[in-house]
Amino acid sequence: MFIGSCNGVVHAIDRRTGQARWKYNALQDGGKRAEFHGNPIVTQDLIVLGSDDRSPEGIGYVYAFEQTTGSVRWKYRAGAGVMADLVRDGDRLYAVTLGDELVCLDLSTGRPLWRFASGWVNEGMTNVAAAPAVIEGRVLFGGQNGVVHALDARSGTLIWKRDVGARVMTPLVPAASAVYFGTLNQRIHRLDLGPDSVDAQLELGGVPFGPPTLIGDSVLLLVYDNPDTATLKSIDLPLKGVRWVREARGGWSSARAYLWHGNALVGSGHGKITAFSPNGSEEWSDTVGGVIRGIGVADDVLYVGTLKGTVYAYRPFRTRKERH
Amino acid sequence: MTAMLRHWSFMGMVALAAAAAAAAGQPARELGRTEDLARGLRAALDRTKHDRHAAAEQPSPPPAAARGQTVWRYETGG
Repeated sequence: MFIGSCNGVVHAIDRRTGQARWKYNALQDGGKRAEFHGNPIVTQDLIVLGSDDRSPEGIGYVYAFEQTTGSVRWKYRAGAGVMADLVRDGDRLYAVTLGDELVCLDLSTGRPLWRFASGWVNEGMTNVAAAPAVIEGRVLFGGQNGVVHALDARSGTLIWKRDVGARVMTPLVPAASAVYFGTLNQRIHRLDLGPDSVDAQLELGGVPFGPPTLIGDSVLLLVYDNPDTATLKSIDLPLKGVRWVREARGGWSSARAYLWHGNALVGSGHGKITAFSPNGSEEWSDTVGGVIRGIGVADDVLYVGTLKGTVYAYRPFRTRKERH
Repeated sequence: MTAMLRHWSFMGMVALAAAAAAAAGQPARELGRTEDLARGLRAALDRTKHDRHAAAEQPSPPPAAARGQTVWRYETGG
C-alpha cells in the first residue's frame, strides 16, 4: 500500500502488518515544501504520483518509483507540480500541472511526448483537481479558463473546445459518451462529446469539489453549500434534479465519495465514516477518529487516512448480523 | 489489491480557488459570494490546522468507537 502525505513523504507499507517498507522524502528534490494529493497510477512495477509546491516559484514533480525498492526510476519536473489525479492510457500518462498545462508522458521513461497549455496564468495555484479523461483516443481537459478541450491523445492536437462558463473544479469523469464535472459557478455539467454537443447543467447550490462518483443511475458529489461544510448530493444522470442530500456533523471531509461493495463511503470532520447505498440509505457507520481525508479500500479492509497523519486499517462489520 | 490513501488539505485548496476566481473578475453578485466562500473556507482551514496542532500534542486516539476489527495503525507524521 502506498501513501502520499502532506509532509512530502511517500510511504510504502505492508498492508497486512502496517510496517513500512520504504519511504521517500520529496523535499530532497528542492522547493520549500512538497505535498502529495492526487490519485496515482499503479503499474506492475511502478507507482507514479505527482507532488506539488503551491507557490509561483514552487518545485513539483511527477515521480515514478519502483514499487519494491522505492528507487526513483524517473521524475519529470512539472513546474509547481501536479495536484490532480494522474490518468493512464496504455503506455502513456496524462497530468495537469498547476500551470494549467496538460502533459503527456511516456510511462516507462517519463519522457514528455507533448504538452498543451490552456493559456490561463495560474497566479493563485488553483488547479487542484481538474484531472483529464481519456475517451476513444481523445483527452478531455477542463481548463481553469472555463474551457473543455478535446485533444488527440497521440499527438496533442486540439480537435475541439467548448466554453462551459466557469473554471472546472473537479476531474472529468466519463460515462456513456459524455463527461461529468463541476464548475466554480456551482454547477454540475454533463457534456456530450463533440463541438456542438449538449452541455446539460444543474445548479448545485454550492461549489462542487472532488470527482463526481458514478453509482447506479446516479452521480455523487461533495458540495460546499456554505463555506464551512460540505454535503453529499446524489443527482440523476440526466441532471434533472438532486435526488437526495446527506449531511454530517462537522461536514464531510473526505476527498471524494469512495465506492465499496456497492455503497458510497464518505468521511466526516468528526471522524465518522458512513456507507450510503445508491438510494441514500445509511447502511452502516463507524467513528474512527480525526478529520478523515483519504479512504483506501481492499476487499474486506478499509485504510482510513486522517488530517493529522494517522492511518487506520480496520475491518468494518457490514452486515446487521455482524453489527448486533 | 493496492490501496492508495491521500491526505487532502482540500478546504485550503478550495479557498485558493475561490480567491483566485474573485480576483479574476466575475459579476458583482457572484464575486461577493465567492469572496464570502473564500473567507469561510480559509477560516475552516485555519481551524483544521489548529486541530492538527492540538492533535499532534496528544497520542492518537484509538478507533474505540469503530465496531469492526482494527488491523493496525500507522503514523505518517503529517
